[in-house]
Amino acid sequence: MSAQDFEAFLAIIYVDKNARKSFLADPIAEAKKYGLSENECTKLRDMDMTGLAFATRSFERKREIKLKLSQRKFFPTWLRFVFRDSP
Amino acid sequence: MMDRIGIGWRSEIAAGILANLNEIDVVEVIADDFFDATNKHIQSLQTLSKQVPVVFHGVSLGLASSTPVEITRLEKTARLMEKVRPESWSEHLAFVRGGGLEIGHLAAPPRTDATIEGAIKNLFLAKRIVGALPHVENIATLIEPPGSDYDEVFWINSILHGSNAGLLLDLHNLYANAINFGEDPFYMISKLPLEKIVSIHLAGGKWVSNKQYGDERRLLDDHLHDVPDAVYSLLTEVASMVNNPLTVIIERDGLFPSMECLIQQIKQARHAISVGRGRKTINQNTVAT
Repeated sequence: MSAQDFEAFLAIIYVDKNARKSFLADPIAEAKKYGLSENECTKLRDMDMTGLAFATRSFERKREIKLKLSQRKFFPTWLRFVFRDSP
Repeated sequence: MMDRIGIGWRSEIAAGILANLNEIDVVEVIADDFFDATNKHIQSLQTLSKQVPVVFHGVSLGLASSTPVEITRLEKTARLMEKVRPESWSEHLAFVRGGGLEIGHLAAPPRTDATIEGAIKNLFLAKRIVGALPHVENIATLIEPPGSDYDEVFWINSILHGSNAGLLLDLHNLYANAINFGEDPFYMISKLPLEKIVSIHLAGGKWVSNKQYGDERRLLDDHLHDVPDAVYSLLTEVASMVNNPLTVIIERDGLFPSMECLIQQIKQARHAISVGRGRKTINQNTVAT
């Protein structure tokens, strides 16, 4: 498998709660299911699982914040300050 | 050219920034916020750039990946650069998507030959489309990047060497990674190519814990807290080592303190650099005698 596939697998377990749950239950089997090589599966089994918990919680919060911000109007407040001194 | 200290442009502190331009040498604007902006918003940026030097900062390209960066995002960057003509632009050494899935934040890719090569190719592509290489920024990570073959410093150095890009050294990112993974931040700095360091980010963060993992806690770079003293010490260290004039940006994304407090942090950064430059001069004079 390619480096791109490995990154894609990481993206899946970083974002998809169910995929992550399955991965944590059996890392090798899940990675194999995705077609990753033996070496890649081993690397994933031995990965920093504590860090995975920390990182995925942080990513989730960032996505929530982005969603909230995207629902707000585009910079309604600061334009007048910039234009205040414009010629 | 002199060292310069500035701050990240955020709508919540825009008025405060404009009222304190005598203390602020440069502002950093998040380019992605303006990719789909109206002419009026672009005009406002152009006006801003006439009042204070502006640099752009990108957050969504995902340069450090074996996957080619999306051309449309580079074209948007190029169009914005053309319209506003900032002094420079920067992006993170991160991957932000994989297999069509958006992670939603900057993630550390596996530190491998594949991502080194991918990042270098992406940087050359960025240079071709945008017209200038970005400065590349080291990112903070709460997880040791799975599948890595190299440590962070070797990986960054390889990308800098292969691309000839300048380094935007985020000192809080470096500090957080060092603390979280048992490294010495001063040693990490000493191993970076000093001649490549052109700009600096300063920020703050907080400790996070996870009950599932007992007492374990990690330092999160959240841009919601004041710059800690340890990071100013690292700034002094960098200033004592590098010859390049430095552009230093304080990043604050929320829980904004008073503008006086932010200006105080700018002054503290200015002092930290001054101490470092003084130390450098003393060292040079000692060697000369």
